[in-house]
Amino acid sequence: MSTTTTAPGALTPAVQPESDNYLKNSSGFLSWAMTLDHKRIGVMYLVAVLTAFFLGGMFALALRTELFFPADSTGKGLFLTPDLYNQMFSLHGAIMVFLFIIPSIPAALGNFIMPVMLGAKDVAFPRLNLWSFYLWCVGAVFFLAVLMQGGLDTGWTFYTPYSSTKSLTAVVPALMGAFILGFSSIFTGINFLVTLHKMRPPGMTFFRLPLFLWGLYATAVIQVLATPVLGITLLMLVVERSFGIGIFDPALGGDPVLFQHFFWFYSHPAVYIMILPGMAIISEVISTFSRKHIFGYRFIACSSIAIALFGFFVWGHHMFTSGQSPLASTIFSALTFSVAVPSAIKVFNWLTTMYKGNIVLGAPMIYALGFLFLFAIGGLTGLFLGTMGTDIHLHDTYFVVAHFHYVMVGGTLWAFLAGLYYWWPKMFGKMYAQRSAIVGSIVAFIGFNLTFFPQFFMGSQGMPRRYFTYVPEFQIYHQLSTIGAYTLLVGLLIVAYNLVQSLLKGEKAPANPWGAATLEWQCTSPPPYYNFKDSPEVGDPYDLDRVQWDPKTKGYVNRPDYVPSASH
Amino acid sequence: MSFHPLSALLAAQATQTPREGNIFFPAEASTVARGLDDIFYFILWVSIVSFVIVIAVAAMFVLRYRQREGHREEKTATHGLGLELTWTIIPTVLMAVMFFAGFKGFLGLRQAPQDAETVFVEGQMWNWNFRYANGAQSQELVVPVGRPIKLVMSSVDVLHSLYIPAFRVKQDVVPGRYTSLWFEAIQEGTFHLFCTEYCGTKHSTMITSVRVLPEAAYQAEIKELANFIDRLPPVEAGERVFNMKGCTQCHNITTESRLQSGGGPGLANVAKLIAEGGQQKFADGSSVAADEQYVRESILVPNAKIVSGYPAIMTAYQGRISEDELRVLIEYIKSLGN
Repeated sequence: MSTTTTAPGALTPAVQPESDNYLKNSSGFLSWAMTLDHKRIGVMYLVAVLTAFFLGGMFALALRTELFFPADSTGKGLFLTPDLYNQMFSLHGAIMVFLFIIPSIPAALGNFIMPVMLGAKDVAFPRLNLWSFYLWCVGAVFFLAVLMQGGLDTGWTFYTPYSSTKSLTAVVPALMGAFILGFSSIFTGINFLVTLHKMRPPGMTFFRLPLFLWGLYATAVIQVLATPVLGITLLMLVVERSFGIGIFDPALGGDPVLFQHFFWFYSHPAVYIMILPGMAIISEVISTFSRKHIFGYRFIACSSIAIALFGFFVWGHHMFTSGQSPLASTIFSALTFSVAVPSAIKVFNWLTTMYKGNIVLGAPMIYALGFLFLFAIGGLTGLFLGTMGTDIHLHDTYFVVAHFHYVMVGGTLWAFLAGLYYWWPKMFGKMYAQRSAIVGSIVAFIGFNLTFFPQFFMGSQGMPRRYFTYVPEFQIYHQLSTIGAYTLLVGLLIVAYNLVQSLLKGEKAPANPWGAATLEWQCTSPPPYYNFKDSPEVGDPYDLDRVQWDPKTKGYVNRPDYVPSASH
Repeated sequence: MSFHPLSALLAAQATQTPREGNIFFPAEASTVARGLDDIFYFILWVSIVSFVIVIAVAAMFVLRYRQREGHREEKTATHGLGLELTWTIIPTVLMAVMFFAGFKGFLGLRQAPQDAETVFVEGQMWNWNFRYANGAQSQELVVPVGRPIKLVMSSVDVLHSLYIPAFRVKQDVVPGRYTSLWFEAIQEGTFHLFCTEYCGTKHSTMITSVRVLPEAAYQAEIKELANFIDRLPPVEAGERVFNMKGCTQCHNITTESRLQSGGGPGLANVAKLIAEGGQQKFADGSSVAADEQYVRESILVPNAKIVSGYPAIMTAYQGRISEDELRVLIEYIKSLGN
């Protein structure tokens, strides 16, 4: 190890000139639009995906509002027509999946944090990184074009032959949008893989990578290997719809179920693109806020890789009722359970990490605890769907809707917010008010459960999904769910208010407000343009003895007498 | 969990009396429902116990080890193979049981008994048509109690999925091929039958009922449904054909159009036009005499001539309606002007 004179403990915010700060080292529109700095690209992604989240959320509220009452006897809805309703759920799904969840953690938080956490100056291909952001924007423009040109009513799944022969909406622009967003995602994945392989500083072995980076690594593998299949599939559908070449249309000798195989070959692994980075954030937050070394580092790291690999072989569990052979269904069901085990392993390791800790209930930890609760429900309800006999009844009902919202919102969104609150001081150099952050989290938590928990019962009683109206016995569940959706909105508005307040008048953040031992906390908040003047000293990322509380800066600083332990 | 319920679970047989409807499920109205629900409740209990353990431990740790005056973290082991193996193996075993139980239940759903009576099902945007062994057709599914029924299904347009929650059965209905499912109803009554594969504008009203009748009533019902064209006056028979072929999903029998809710013209207008000997005008500016031939073509090849203002979305009935049915249907539509 290096001598103590280069120990990064010497870095305090005071010694960094203000102009070094990545936010202020240059200014003007072009300094952002043409930037190659991964931090600025990360911030632009953050603004972009949050805008998409807002739009997708508004569609969701419209759906829930419409469903407060069933359609009247003449088939008229509260304020939507069946066609408008179908377009709203399609766009809600497509926007949330392609424009928000998939890029949310890797492209926004990952882009910003990953190189700093690694101890590198930037990602391996900064230009490709900017290009991937612009591809996201082009994809978003295509979706806006879809909105202008009469919407999309195929669901985000684009099932054939409805999408190829029947739909009268702007299917082709939506497919092109998703195709382009796919490339945005592939480029991010390539960039992260190369960065993690080639830009690790001296001493940063793979088993010294923080678990967030393991999560991003596993995610990047899926992005690079699975997304091209989506691209091919979407292109085939474009050609099918435009020229009727008959790959999927049975009238021309094609097979509509083949589309489902192609689609889920990407879209099931994509579920892990959505959840793996979330799990990885939780590993960081729980360790730091329990003041404990993470328990079972290697098991957590390897379980991410296991999930990424097994995730490729389970797509057929979306198709138990599709007409695929019973043998195929059986194999897919068995493999599906093999993905559930590594997820369970992570949960138990997180719990054990908290044992005999000193648990700080800051906003990131409140979100992490919320994640544990919601992800446990999301994961356990997946068991009913992986089991063939019970899935036949539950498939395509609200039970499935509730299950994947618990995983995608309760899991990924909660982890995203945990990560946002965790790294916010680093990203913007401002602290936030803990109280309103936590109040927002709790209101959102209550609203979320009120929205989606009743949907399990509605689903197991037989309420199909994607219904504009419903039979009367389901009304009470729908009404609870709608009230929940508005409560969730209130919670998220409090969160938005809290973060905006922080930007406007938050206290200046210390370099290491939470006392974590990973490297991103070794530079100032916000980081200098070049992240680190000298490569920081790499140690065990979870050896919290590295730092101690410093009342003067109201943050943690490196312990001068710290001797890194040989391993963890 | 004791040995007995587990073995009963794995047998996935309806050895016990069916349950009434509850917060989780509608009443168990088919032979397979009880066994499948048993698997559900088994997973439910495993889930509840696991969830309570995880949340209780988390809550206990938060309470006991929360940051406060005088409390410090303690160093504990950072890994432990024994623990890791424990919480790998126990879930694996439990999941193996779930998989196997689900597999057995699934086989029960897939393998129709040899003596099952076949009913053919045709899904179209947005109604169901059921055809029975004696030639009868219906829009509601009628089945006898206590006898296995096999549904052999196909779609004329897009994917649909036939779902009867009370029987715990569901199967996608795919154009260009047959898929099938079977059930044996054990309870008389009327149950929901839903489409659960999104199929466009009126997906959410592609709902009908299953009526489970005693054997004698079932036989009488399908006898009554068969050959009605020969027995009834054309207008009356035509009304049945109209209801059976799914016309009601998109057309009013009044003058009122259903363009706003994704449907077609009100058919009383057509009847009036025919009565007056008028001309029907089309989107391309052409027009044709409104007569029986025009109605015939509009049913068989609807998109050949499109009335202006309407999208070309109606399903073609060429090859899906008999000459007799077509004749009485046209008579019925003509009668709507009165």
